[in-house]
Amino acid sequence: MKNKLISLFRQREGRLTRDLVQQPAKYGLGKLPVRLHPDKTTTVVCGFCSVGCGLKIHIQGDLAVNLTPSPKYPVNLGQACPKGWEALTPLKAKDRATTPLLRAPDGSFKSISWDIALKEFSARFKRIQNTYGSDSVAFLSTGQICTEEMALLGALAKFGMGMIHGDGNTRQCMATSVVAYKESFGFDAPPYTYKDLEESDVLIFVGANPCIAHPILWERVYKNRHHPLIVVVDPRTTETAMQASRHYALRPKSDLVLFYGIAHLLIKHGWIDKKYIEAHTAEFEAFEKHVEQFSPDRVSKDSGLSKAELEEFARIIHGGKSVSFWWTMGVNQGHEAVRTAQALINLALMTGNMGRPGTGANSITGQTNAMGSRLFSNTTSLLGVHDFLNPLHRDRIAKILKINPQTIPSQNSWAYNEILEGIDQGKIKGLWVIATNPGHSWIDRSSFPDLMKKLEFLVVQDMYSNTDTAQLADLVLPAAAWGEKEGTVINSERRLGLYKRVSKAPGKALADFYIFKLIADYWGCGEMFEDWKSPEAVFEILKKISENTPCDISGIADYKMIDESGGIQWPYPYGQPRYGTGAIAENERRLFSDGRFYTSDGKARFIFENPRPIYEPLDQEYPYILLSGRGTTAQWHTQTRTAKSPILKKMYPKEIYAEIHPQDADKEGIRSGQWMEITSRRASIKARAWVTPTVGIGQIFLPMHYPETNLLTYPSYDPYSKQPSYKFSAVNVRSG
Amino acid sequence: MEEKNKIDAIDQFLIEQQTLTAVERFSEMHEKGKIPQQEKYYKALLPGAPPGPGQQYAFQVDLDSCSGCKACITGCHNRNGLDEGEMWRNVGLIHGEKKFAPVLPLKATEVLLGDFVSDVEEAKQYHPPTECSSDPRSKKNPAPSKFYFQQHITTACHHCLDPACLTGCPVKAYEKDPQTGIVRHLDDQCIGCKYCIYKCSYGVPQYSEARGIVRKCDMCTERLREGEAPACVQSCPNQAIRITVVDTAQVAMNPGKDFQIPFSPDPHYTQPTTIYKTSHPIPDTVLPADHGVILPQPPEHSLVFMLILTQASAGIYFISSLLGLGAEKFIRVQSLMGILFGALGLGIATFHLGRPLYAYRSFLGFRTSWLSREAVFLGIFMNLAFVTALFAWGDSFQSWIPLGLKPLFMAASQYGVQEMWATAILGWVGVFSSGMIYFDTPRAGWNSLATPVKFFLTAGILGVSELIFMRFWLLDPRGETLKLVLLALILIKASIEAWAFLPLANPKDSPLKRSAILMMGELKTATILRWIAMMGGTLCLWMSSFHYGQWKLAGMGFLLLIAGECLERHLFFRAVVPPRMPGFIVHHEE
Repeated sequence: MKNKLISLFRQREGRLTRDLVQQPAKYGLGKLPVRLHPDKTTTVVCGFCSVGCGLKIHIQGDLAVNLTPSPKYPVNLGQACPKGWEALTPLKAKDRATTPLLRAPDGSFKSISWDIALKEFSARFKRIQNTYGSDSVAFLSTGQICTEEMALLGALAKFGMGMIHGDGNTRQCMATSVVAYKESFGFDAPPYTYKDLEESDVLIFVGANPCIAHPILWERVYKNRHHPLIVVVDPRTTETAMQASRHYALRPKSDLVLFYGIAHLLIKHGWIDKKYIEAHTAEFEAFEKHVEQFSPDRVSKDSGLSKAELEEFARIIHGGKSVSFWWTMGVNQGHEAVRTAQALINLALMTGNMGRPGTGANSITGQTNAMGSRLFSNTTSLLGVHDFLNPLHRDRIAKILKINPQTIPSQNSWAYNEILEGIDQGKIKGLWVIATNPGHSWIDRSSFPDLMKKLEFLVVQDMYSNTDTAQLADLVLPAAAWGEKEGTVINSERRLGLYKRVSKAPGKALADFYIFKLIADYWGCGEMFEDWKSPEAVFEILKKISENTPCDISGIADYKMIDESGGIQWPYPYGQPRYGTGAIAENERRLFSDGRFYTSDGKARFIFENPRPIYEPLDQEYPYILLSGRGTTAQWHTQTRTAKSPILKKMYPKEIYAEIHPQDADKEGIRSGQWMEITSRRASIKARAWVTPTVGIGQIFLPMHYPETNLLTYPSYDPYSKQPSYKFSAVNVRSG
Repeated sequence: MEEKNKIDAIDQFLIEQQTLTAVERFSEMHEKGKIPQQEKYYKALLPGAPPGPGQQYAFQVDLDSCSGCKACITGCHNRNGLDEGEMWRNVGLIHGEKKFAPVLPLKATEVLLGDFVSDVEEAKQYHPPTECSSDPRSKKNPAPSKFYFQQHITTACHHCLDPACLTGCPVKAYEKDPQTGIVRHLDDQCIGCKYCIYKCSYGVPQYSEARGIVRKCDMCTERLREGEAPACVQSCPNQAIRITVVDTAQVAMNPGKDFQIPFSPDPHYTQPTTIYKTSHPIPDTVLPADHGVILPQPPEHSLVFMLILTQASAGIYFISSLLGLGAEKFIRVQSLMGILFGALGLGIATFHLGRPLYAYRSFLGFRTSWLSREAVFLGIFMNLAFVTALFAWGDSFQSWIPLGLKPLFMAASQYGVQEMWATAILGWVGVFSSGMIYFDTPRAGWNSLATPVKFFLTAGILGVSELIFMRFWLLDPRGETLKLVLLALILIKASIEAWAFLPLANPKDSPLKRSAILMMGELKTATILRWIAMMGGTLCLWMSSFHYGQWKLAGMGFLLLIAGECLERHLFFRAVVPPRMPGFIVHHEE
């Protein structure tokens, strides 16, 4: 009674206090609020980016209540970026797609049953194919779904439904690395393991801002105990540039010239590894001759770096015992991107920085399963990086899948931009978009809605029915998301990781795998996929397909083995020794330690070409360079998911903002925090000015997460990878 | 496939979709270990021993390692099970130019400079700042200049030596642990008055609308107690945050010595204990990332009405006491008017509280909190007002008074004027306390003498104008002379308020200038209306002639003046620019 009376005035305990009281939780989690104590936990690979962190999901009954980064997973060692921490939140969003939606004649969406949706899907696409030919229906897929789902989609669309053309949004991020590696190494094989970040003594980041785009890779750099010298090549003084020993702020898209110039200097000073070049590479003499023209004078003029800086850069590469080169979108999304990536590969090869710990020419991937898409999506290449044009390959795949080889197309698919052009020209009449949002992300997207209107039937399969693209659809298929389905994904360092069903999908949303299976049934080709019973059954098929290829995974017993090993890197052929549980050290493998590459003669190629002029040069009317890229760690791509987390939303500006240098702002009368207008030949947008000297003079930077950005971008593509060049458009600005 | 089979397949998949992966196959049930698996990573980030006498725990941030990923925010959010969108940690950003290239790691100097530069100091200046052409078409020297600078700054509660949240809290919902120095908030004790938010210079306490209380970082007290690292320490991929032990005397002697963050609030106010370390001095040219953004604070409607109405009430009692000697009717009417305003004001005040049921606790902080004092004094003020009214109207309900009490009652009724005076004085003390609530904060524009003075002037203006209006009923011609008093008060208050616009003429940035910019910009409508109402109200009262019985005109004047004062107070809350850590993300629409 007395206590009760006291507590009326001094209340130290009660409902509000109890909410946060912590007790030790089980499973090695440490202290957690009691109401959030899990009764089981399991580790799932994160579904945002390609770093592929292990997230320990806390489950109460059959409800995922929380997560913590897994301390045992060899990728992230107990850490996650804000997106990973918030991975469960977008699942609970109120605007999830929960039933199939069909566009009614009055333009509104009507909820329909799966049965009607699937009948509609089959009937409408079949009608189009009957009228315009089977190649008049195409699909646009993604780097966000599981490998097994990609394989099933690719096989269903091309072998079952008779489509020829299908591509993924990986075209927007990784196509350049694919082509670069394929040509240089003979296979699309990023050679590194994350441990290399810890073992280099010189790390060179080109067009990459891992502090923001891949924070957990930066964690690994931070763990480097060799006092590494870090070089950042980037037009902007990024967060990563701030952490670097040297930042070379080159003029945008002068990268190819710069790296040829560095090669020139390395050769001039004799700072090359002749033995390695001799034993493991081909075409060096021609390359040597090619870079003769890239004198420091010319390179300095083009790149804006001083000759002393060029000397210094070359000296840094020479001085390192283990030099690693890392690149991402700053290289991949350029007008001569493939050759630029290969210029970096050349630097690694000529200095012998390949195959040893802490070395390599290493492309950092974007999406969680871009790497799975590169191997098994059946888009650019036939399942398992086989060749559609090669009859032996078609026969091999047909035999494994027990299908008629005739059902496998003997021609290559159009690339993403060609499919869209096909729509414009009336050659593609039906389109199926899966887990991607080109209505926001496609370069020069202003004409995208009109383009979609040219279709007779647009199907969008997504976890939300209100994405920019879903809003244009005739039929929306509600998909289960990460955390609501099973399968494997492959991260940047070639590590297969596991997705598990730890949360229930809302309403009638179904995993993409189930949707594809149902479509096969309704289309009438269900028998073809009889063996494709479950994701894990498909994994068995993929193992067979991979046998004796560079990406052989036939040694992986099953999902459980992947789970227990903390992910497994390819190649993992049958007979490979098994890792001990949780043994992180031995679970990191790099390629080419024997100096043998996947080319016919086992030698890597030096590939090079003369630089090309930029497609949209600056002029009096549009004198500023528009750059785009990732804004913050709390934003993912077109924000369909990250915008659903209240905590993430507090970590970035709600409205689009443009970085502009103080000198330019002064000149144009633009004030920080105020609206400014940015105009290109394609559109004009408004953005909040963020006046900062970290962006170069004459340059404007826009984060890609806001829908306005790609109204401005100039549609140009690398000629080999067909990857859009998001990193250079001509614009003008004024105070708005 | 048969039609039925197809539909069966749909149903089958829908069922499967609702079952979780057989987690038993994969679950980490076998991990029974009590030792947190994360321990091996954070062990080195905790002090060897807990703080001894004269010491306390503190956050230590290695700015060199903070790469701006903000995982500390979400790590804190999730490990502590905070509410949707609740942030106990925040990350700001400063940026600018700096003169020299980064200092190279030891190895780098060997690699790079062995041949041609021997001196490390010389090495630092290896790159002089480059002159740049701002014209991108010029081939002359078109590269962006180098050595620009940005730095993220992670920040949570600084567990200050002299926590302003604690001294300001009217219900003693804050405690500073004598052993650890951690400043804790007692959630169930809180009444949701939000005064701690005004008191803290660092924007630490977070108010939850749903819960009706504030919550804040407690340095994961419970984790620390058992040798576990706080959530943010555990969640930083680069180990930029650690816990250390500081000597309180040293912090007190030189507050801010280890807290050299440009644009951060004056550390002498609360003596924050967080230590910020960096190997490269932050250049003095930096600006906070949100430098160009000036946003109004959220409106505080209930506080506005509460302040204006209680001040009107105090003013009415004071003016009436001055003029009401001996006039029984006068006291009767005016005591009712005073109660009307005062009770309404205090009633509305409870809407400001997140948990009004517990408002009775608000006397607890009387020793240190002006909010407590305001509550106590205004409470007594209103009680006295009731007593005064009761006695003044005593004979109207004589028959209701128990016989035994009648003599006492009759005696007390003799002292109506004295009671009126007592009420007026308590009202004045209440208004003073109201003023001191805002005076006693680190907010420029609030923490000047102008605040209590303005509050008194509001009381005076409304008290006088009420009488000018009421003279039509009280049939008191003295109202005419009061007009001059009103004019004088208005002129004084108008000059004080006009003073706030002077910083606009000063090219230097300051919180006061920002307030003025807000009043001339985003809050322009309110500013204009405020001046119109004040001038219009004064004019109406001035023109209202007693002889012609123009009570309607006077009434309009009185209402206009009330509205004007409400608008003044609305601007007082909205245009203030609180101190805070530099460069947080700014949300324009909030």
